[in-house]
Amino acid sequence: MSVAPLLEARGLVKRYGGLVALDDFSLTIGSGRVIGIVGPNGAGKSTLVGLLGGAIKPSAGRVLFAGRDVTSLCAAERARLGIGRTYQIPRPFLDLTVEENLEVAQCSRRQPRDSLARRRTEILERCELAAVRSRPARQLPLLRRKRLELARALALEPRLLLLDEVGAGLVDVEIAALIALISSIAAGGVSILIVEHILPIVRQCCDEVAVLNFGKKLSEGLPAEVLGSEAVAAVYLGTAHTVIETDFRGAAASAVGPLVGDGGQAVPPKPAQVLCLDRVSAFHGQLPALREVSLHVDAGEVVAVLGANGAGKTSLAALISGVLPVRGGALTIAGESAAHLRPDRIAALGVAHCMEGRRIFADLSVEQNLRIAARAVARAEVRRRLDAVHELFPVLAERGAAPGTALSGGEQQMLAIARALMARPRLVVFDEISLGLAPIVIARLYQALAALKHAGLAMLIVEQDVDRALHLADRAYVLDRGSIALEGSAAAVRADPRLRQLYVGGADEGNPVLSK
Amino acid sequence: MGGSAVIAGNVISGLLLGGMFALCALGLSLVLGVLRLVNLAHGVFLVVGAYAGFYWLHETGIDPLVGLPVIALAAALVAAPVYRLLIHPVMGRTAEAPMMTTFGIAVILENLFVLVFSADTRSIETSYSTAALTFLGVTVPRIYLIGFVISVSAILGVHWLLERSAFGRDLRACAQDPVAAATVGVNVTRVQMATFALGAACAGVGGTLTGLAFAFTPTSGPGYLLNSFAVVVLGGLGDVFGTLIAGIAIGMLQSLGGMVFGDGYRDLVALVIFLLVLVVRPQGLAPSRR
Repeated sequence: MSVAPLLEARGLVKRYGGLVALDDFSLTIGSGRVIGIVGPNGAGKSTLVGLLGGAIKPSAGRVLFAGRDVTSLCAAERARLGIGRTYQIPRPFLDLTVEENLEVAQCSRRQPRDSLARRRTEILERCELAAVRSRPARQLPLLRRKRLELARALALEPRLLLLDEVGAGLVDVEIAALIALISSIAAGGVSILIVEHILPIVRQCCDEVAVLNFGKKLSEGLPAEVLGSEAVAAVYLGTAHTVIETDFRGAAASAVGPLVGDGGQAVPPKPAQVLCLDRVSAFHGQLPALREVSLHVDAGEVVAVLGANGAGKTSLAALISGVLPVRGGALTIAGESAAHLRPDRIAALGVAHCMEGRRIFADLSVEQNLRIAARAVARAEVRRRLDAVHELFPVLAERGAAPGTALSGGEQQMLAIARALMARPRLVVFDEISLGLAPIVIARLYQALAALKHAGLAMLIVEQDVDRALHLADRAYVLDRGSIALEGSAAAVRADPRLRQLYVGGADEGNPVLSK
Repeated sequence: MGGSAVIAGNVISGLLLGGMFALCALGLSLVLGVLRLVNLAHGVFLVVGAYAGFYWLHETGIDPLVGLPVIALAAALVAAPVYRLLIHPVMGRTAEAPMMTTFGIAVILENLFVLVFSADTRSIETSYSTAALTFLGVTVPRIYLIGFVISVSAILGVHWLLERSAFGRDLRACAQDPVAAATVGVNVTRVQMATFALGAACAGVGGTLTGLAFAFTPTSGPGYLLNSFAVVVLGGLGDVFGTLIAGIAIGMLQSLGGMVFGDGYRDLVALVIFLLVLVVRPQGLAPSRR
């Protein structure tokens, strides 16, 4: 690798408003090298792919490709120079045949027709798509669509391939086949950047790995060294920061009374089981998101749902709140079947969802954001609940008239939690409330959750900060690629060596968990 | 002296007319902002309002202005099931399906007008619909002033509804993030239906006022629709005050354009503004609130 590098990124910065998605990131990809990028959700990985591929413009920094500054070129221009990319969710031209999809990618090549056709045949054979070359892309199942996505990128004859989560949604055998395919492409001299949650792919395909966390490069080096290091395990398990001990029975506990339990209201008697999923499956389009997941939350219980990125945690939360349709299996909320209810009907059954990304209504004031969740409730009761959430998070009272999104990230998360509580739910699903927040703020949020637990609120905590969640939870489930891989009491899950394997993989590559 | 009075008369006429334009466009703006639906039947809804005013006067002999609340209510009551039964079933799949449904509704209604009301040109004849009003040497049609006052009052009422009421709060939440709104318990379908009905009610009132000020035919709808589009594009989506200001701006520019180029070019002015705004400032002229 003595020649100039194929791609060089220098000091890339991407800001979205006040949020720094990628901070002073530099990367060199040598000719013929395969580089892996790993890191938890929100670390800036997809931003990086967008910046290198040209879909996103950097706030600062430069991208050089084959010695040429391409920073100002758009995605199509970069593609013609030889940067091909795939998307996390395959985006083939559905009404074209497999081969036509490749022809589209070849359109900028000035070569005789038969040599182009020969090249297509080669690519299709390598990607094991030759048998379906004249079928419309719409008919392909997921794995073949992923292969087509790759084949189409290859038809550009790229010198650099950017692979964004090509492993997402695939099962073990498919992943093994994908690893073989990527290795054969790399053997052909193409440089590859792999952004991937599925660590066996990174471990087996990459020459070098870089770890991203909070938009910064945490470490880089050989895959075995980097993925085996304690620092990386800590990033994935959330032990990278010191857990600030919180007083679980603090003063706030008394405040939440009006938000939890019957409180003099005519609420039907609490069923013992608030939530029950019996072999529930769900899909995102064709991607299987959850496979036969069984799970339950009893009254007053705190249950954590853990798992690496892409394991299906947020899908599970979306399914429980009715946003993601249930396909197969039974979903029961407070004794009633809820598999095909609209989200607002599920909310009326007493399940509140504190959504990932907060989803604060920007057009509404802080107070309106709170009031909207207290539906069909007398004025005095709304007032009581407002007072209670104000006592829990005083900043919400101070900023009551401000637009919801004028708050800081941590305050918005407080607002999202408070909004969920305003419905006086039987069960709250907290989805990734610690994402992107400073440890001190996270500690403050978990202090509030501890108070709610003490008051008897049932909670389902979806969290990538494993340590934090297990600290609070009574029981935990660990998801792995849409299935439950591990379950038990919080202490048992914490002590189980398979937990770490599920996050960073173990010695036995392809199948870390199922080798029981 | 004479020349400046004519110019002043035109500017003031345009301003007053612009208030009516704004009310006529408000429903289109709300439906687009909340449902992300381009209601191609909106122009025809305005024609329905004009016919409603015409037949109200014809059948009851009572002043159409008195009938406005009834017309608004009737428009809302008819529009709600139209939305629920015809448009809602095709929402959420592609953007085109519901839009084409509204186009179909427009074609059907237009043909029904011809069949039932005949192709004749109509106008709602009242004592004030042709009378002039002279103030400080400036002359404007009296109906323009009446229309302006009613339109601005209605727009302020809608503004109050959106900003202060629980329904308005739910509507704005649905406009911004329907999934999050549903998750906190808002019945999004019902809010969408109510928004569509509210838009139709505004169109009913705006259509009656238009029928009082101008003659109309069964095929006036597309022209009304284009004028409303120009207002919505200029004012920004779902922005009530933006719509009012844009309506007034277009009314004044149309009047001045008609004065300079001749009355036949009034619509051209609106369409040129429409295209220019799309090119130069597609987000509308109002400062963005998001």
